[in-house]
Amino acid sequence: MSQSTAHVATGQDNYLNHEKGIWSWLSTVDHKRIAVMYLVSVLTFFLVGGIFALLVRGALFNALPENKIIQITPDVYNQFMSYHGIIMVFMVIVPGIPAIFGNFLLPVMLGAKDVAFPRLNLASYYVYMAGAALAVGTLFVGKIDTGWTFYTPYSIKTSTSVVMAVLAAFTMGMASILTGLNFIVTTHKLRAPGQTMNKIPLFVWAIYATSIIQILATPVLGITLLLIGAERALGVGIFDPNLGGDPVLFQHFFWFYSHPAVYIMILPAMGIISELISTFSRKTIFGYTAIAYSSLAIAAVSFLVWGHHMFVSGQSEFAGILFSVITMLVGVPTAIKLFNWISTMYKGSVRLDTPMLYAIGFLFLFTIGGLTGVWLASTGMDVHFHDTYFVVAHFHYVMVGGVLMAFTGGLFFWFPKMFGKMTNDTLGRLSWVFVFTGFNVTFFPQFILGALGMPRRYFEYHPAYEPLNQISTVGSWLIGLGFVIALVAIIHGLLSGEKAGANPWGSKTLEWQTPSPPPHDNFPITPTVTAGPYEYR
Amino acid sequence: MELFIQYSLYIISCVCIFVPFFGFGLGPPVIIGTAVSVFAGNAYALIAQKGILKNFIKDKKDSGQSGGLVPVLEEAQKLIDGIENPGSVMKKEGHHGDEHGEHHHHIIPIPVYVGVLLVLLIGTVITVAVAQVDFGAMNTVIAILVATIKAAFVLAFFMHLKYDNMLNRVIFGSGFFFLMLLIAFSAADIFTRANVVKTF
Amino acid sequence: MSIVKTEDGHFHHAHHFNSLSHQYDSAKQGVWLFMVTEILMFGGLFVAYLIYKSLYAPIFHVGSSYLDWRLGSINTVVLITSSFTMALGIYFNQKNKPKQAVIALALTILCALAFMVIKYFEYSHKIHLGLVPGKYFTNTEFQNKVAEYISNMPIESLTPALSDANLMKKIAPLYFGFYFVMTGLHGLHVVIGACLIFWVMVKTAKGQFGAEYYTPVEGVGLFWHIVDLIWIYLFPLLYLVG
Repeated sequence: MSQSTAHVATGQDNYLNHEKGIWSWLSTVDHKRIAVMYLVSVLTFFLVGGIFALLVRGALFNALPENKIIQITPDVYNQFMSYHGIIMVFMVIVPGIPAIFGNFLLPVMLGAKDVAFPRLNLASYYVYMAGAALAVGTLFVGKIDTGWTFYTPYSIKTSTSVVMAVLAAFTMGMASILTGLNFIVTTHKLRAPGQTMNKIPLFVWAIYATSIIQILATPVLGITLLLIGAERALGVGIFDPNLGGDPVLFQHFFWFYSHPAVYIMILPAMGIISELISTFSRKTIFGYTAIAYSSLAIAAVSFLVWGHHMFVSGQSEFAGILFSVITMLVGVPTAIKLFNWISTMYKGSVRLDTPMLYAIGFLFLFTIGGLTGVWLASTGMDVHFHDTYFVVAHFHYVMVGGVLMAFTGGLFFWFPKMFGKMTNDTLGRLSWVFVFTGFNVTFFPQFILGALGMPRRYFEYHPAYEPLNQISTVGSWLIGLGFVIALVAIIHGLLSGEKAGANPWGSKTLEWQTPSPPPHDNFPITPTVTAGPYEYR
Repeated sequence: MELFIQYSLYIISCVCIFVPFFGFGLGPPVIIGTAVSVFAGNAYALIAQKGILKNFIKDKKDSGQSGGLVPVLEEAQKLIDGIENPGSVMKKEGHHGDEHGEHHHHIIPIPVYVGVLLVLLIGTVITVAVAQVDFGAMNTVIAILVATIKAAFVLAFFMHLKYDNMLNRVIFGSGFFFLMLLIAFSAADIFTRANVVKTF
Repeated sequence: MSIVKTEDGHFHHAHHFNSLSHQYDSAKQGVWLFMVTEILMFGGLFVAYLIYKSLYAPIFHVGSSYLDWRLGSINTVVLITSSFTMALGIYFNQKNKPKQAVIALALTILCALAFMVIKYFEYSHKIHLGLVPGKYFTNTEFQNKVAEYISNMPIESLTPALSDANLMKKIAPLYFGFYFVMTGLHGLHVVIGACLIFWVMVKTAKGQFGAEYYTPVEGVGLFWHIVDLIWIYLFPLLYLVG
């Protein structure tokens, strides 16, 4: 594959021991260290969001308030549900893969020494942490019960600390923009000699498409959040019907960002899957160009479909038809990718290591999630499914079954590269069993619940739905167990994993041609790229 | 990739100009159609048309009639080489070889700046003058038109876009384009629901 | 990117770039990407403005008569001039003339201050008259004028919302909500821009830029021009069209 013209160093002098001391970490501009800091933060927030998830499901174990095993008020339930959403969306999944793996791998996969703007990278991290602090701070000030979507007019009227929460989301959006900006310029300007855009790994294509979405969509969220703040503080009247405003306009603005946001979540995950599948099938990825351009196509079309969240909001019929048709279109590039991955595995030499298990899990779960999305895109069906558990199951299939599976698979895959040690494969496989099984036990019943008509975000529901809800709650405990085992596997690997070589999985992309962990400058000498990234034969 | 960037700017500008005129009912489908066909067309061009391009280059070279086509043919050949055999060609987007070179940044002379300043000031006078007369709904249109011309001058000269590389122009244009999308689709909803006052 | 001049007076590029011009191009691209986000952010406000303007045209028509177009025009001229002086500031840095550059940048800051002073007068006048966003609005004269304007409109052109006089009076403050949010956010960017220009001016005065390296000046310049661009659109839409 790519000819690195220097001999492989021993991995003794690497980015982890390049400088010592906590200040060297807090003031680092090394993209790899920043990635590790993001990893710690994101995993912590994932834990917190996960606890809120368990609380939500625990509260739903029983239908009627008097029977609830956790005795809380409906307001408190709304808070659990809101925090689960806000933490998972803004603090875990949107930053997750780009901030951790994008930061660590983008320059290495491009043969560069760092991202284009290293100090901006560090600033992004601190801005993100500031936003996260504000969000967690609302827990102590007034709590949020609007849901992560901040729909007006409730978000204008409620007495919870909405202004602080929207400021938190604004700040985290800012971090997202700065990271995206960094990655676009890095991809344009810092590729190794000979590495054309047609030779970059598909993970880089995915991050590139994601960054374009981040730049274009996040500012609109920014202004929307600021306007909520202005509405609450000054009574501007833009979203409040009493003052002449239009709540549906809020939804237009909000979903103009939030729909592309879900593609910010899934595109990097798909990038990871491309890497995992080609490595563990030991085969060139099928249809490199198609997958690359599909990423861009998804990024572009994602901006045209936001109204499918609003079919029953009161938007006009014309708009509904428009958005429905275009949403069907966005499934096409996604399907192209899926078939290409399957074709990659065909006649490949498939090895079912932990990362590959997660990748195959992704294929299965994301397909279900994606297909149910197409059903939701049809206006006629959405009228029945909107705001039911069908939608909840759909987006959890794509976000957890999709993004989190890819994230965990990527974590196990690149763990040796990042830390120079192997994880315990048994623990990894065990975590996969619990996550995969638990996930299906939790969320498949929710499809049925939604089809039967159970509304979402309800604390008290009809007792007829209780059995399926209880199955779902038990499933949530299984997922929790699975991720805890994964965490144990990671920590065990950090503490006592066996030493990893430069390329334990036999992959062909540039990051495996440098020692594990990589040296401070990534490559002893800048590599020259003469072949594609997946040429296994 | 280069093809895409080259053409996208023109398409973006056309769409942006036409959106207000065609009305919001017609705009969104046009935009979607354009976006999809641009991607499809360029992907197709890059992947499937390579062979036709190669034959064209060969024909022209053989026939000896190239003349003014010579630089175009060289560019096309480079493009194909870049796709097929990348080690041999330094792509122009990575400025990888200039160890010592600064390319001279184009410096705009002061008289040009003064000229632009005058244009902008005149534009302001025009805007204010037109606003004193009642053209009805056209007032807004003229105001935005003049503002856009002023903006174009600021972008081209004060912000250097006229002398900058194509990518920066595409980056700016795409921001504007997506803004048009937001307007078009939101308006498509609102104006097919509410009754719009005719005196705009 | 703080790049320190070495003793021999040359600038060295950051280690992950190949050359100063590689770094310059990348930095410029980064700033342009950020400008796209600024455009989209303000653009959202313009979208909301345009939509409500079409829905409730009389409110916006009467409201803009409360804005002094002369002050607005002066502000426009001030900002355009500041764009000119900013371009000069970059020009003199490109030509290795730090003294003239500092003067040009100082003039730019002065223009920014003039803009904010005029804005202060506009705001205080409106606050005094009670022409403020919704919650604190107290100017019944404005509401009556809106009702009067509507009553003079031909009946066929009235939508159901417009013919409801009480509704129109209640939602009239919407105009000033837009006015304060849009000009306020813009004013905030003017202040931020002025601070950035000050920072760059100080560095120019200290001799930290030259023909080889003036990237921060250019970046700040691009930001400042965007601020001017936004005002070029804000001014006619708020002050003149009505």
